[in-house]
Amino acid sequence: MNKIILTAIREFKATALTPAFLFGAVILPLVIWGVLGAAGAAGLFSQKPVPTTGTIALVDPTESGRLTELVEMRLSPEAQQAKAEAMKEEARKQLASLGGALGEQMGEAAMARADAIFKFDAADITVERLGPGADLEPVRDRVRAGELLGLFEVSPGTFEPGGSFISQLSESAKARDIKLIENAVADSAVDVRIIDAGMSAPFVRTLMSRPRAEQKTLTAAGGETKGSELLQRFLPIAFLMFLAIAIFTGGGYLLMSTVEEKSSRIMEVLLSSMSPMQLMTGKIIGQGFVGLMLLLIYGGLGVFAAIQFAVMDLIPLSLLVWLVVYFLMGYFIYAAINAAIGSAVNEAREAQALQGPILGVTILVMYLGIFSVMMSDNPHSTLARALSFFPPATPFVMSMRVAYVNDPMPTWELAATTAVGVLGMIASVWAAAKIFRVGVLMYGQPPTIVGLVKWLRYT
Amino acid sequence: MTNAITLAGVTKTFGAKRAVDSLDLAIPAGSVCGYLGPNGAGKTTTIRMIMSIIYPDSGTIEVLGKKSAVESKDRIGYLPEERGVYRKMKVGDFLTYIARLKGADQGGALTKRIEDWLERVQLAEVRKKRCEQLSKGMQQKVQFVATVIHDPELVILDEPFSGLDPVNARLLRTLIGEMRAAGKTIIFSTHVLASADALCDRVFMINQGKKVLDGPIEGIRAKFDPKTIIVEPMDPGADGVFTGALGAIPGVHSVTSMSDRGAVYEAHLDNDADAQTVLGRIAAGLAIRRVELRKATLEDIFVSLVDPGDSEDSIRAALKADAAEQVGV
Repeated sequence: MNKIILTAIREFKATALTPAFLFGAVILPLVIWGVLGAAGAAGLFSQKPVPTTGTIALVDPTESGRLTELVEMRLSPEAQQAKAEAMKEEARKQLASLGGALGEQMGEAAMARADAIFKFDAADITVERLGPGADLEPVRDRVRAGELLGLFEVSPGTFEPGGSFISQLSESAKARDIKLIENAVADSAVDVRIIDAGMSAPFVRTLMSRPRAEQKTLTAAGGETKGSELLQRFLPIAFLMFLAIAIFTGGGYLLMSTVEEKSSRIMEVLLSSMSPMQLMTGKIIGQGFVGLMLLLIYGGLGVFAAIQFAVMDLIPLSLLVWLVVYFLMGYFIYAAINAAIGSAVNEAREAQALQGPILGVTILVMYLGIFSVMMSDNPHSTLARALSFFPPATPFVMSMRVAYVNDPMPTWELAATTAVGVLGMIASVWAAAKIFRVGVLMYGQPPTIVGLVKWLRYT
Repeated sequence: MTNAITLAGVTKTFGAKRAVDSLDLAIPAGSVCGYLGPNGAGKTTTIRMIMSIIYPDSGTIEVLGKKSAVESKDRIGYLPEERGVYRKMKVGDFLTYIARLKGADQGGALTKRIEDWLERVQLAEVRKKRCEQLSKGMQQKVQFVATVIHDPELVILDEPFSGLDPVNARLLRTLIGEMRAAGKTIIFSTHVLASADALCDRVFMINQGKKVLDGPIEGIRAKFDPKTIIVEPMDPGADGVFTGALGAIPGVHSVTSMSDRGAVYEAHLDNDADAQTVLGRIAAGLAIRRVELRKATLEDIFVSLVDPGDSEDSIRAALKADAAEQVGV
């Protein structure tokens, strides 16, 4: 046991306590966030667009020129400013709805950022009214010449339900201005409809404002928490990502360290001190702690964010326990495969050739898992349930399925899939141990996948 | 005298090739044994079986009184033929790790022992250097230190002189001599027969997986006594005159000239002749500068026991020739 622990400690230190690892796993993410923060603080994201000054031509079929008045009013600097303020307020409310102190802070911060970034300079756009029978060809020539920003042809049909208008633009027109003008024309056309129906346009628009849903979740314990649809959508995919990063990072390092021990010819020195099974177990455990550390770092950040958004009470503690269980299950299955491959080859290039088919199956399994659970938004789909009983897929699919906290699966299924996963894990380690014992002393031509299977029969 | 290692009827087969065939062996405790044989004879396979790195198909192996080396690995120091170091690890950390794997306790005593050993192999200044910063020869000395750092009772060295320059080879011989004086049992396989000649109490040799020689070195020398006397005349004179005079001495069967050494002759004795008596007759009857009773060297014995066709290179060449013949090249 002592030798297994010594090997595990060496593996962990040789991997996790290296500048490359610390840089890649810890420092680099912090640096990226730091650079983004510094760039924001320096105002690099606050470059103001130059406000447009120009004229549009509007074919106004109303006798009184009411449409033109409404469009002019909507394009006035005051109206533009008021609309921008309303959009910012809506964004603030959306962010605040995430909940918790951080949600409120983010809402306020977003407002401040929006003020800084979109310090609003309204476009100065003049409207030139054309009557219904006007000759438009000379006007189009002016648009082509860039003298006008655009020509907007509104017909009586525009005011009918499902109506449209023609927007003919100068090549120099900017997307931001086009959107502004087209919205102004469209909204004004709706106002004309409302007024023609004998109603007050502002009154009707007030009536049309949609109420917001304030979600709450009634917990099994009898309380209630603030609901978050965002969380429900985010949690399963977050679980999958945490798991995949932790499993494949630890497994990848295990493969590389095994190949290194073979290529540097130290394997036999180690085997003179311990059995191949002890060596492999120590290596798997050591690299497992590397994966677990990554899981704790990234998962810890996730938990921190959940606490700050005050949605932690929506994530049962049992879910975090399951995350660790599925990590161990997935890690041991894939680490065993990597250890077996690493023992069979002489260098990293040969390992990649053997890894190819296994990587293909793994990616397929993960995509099928995501498709069966996330795309269908149904953790109980037939494909998801079938994949849960296929050990290489069990950890990934089940980690997503259990993350549907509002749609729990039957206890028997949870127990049965766990049992199958654990059996798969034991079988993987057993097979890997047999291959590892033969492979570590084999040099020369690396085996194929079929060759590896043959090694299982060696006594 | 108890045996450090006992092999009885050990056989190991890889596919169609029988690497070791019914090998019986007894290594007395406290002895220094040379393990000889041509390339591919089965030496490394035998050593790996002794170390329980691989297991025999049949037969039994006892190591340090235990049923296998698994139970006594911490009392054995093993330097494999395929040896390496963790390139990124510091020398001191590497030696500490290997020593702890062998059961040594971490602490000041181990650190002191590592420092002492590094000083003995003239590497005192490298403890904090990464292994990859050392030359190949220095790495080999670190590997040797890793083999003995836990003060084992039994030391098994597979081709320890391979790749060492003459200075370091001499240093290694000195260290092996010191371990012998300390009562350790030492086995080493080597192709450097001069080193084996100088160091071994016993030798055993295998060829094509079978034991062809086993015993104390003096006994083997006596058994393979060449019964030859080397003579250098005072005045070479005419070649035929001295050769005739030497051949006429009773007990001398034939005379050959060692043409590569100038005027030096080998007098091959009759099988029943007493070498000391003939030596006296030559000294009394001929004007000579030097007369010497030739001693059997391990090289002579090795060459006499191993058919040139048994060497791995010869076998590979023969197989290649067969294959070429089959495809009509």
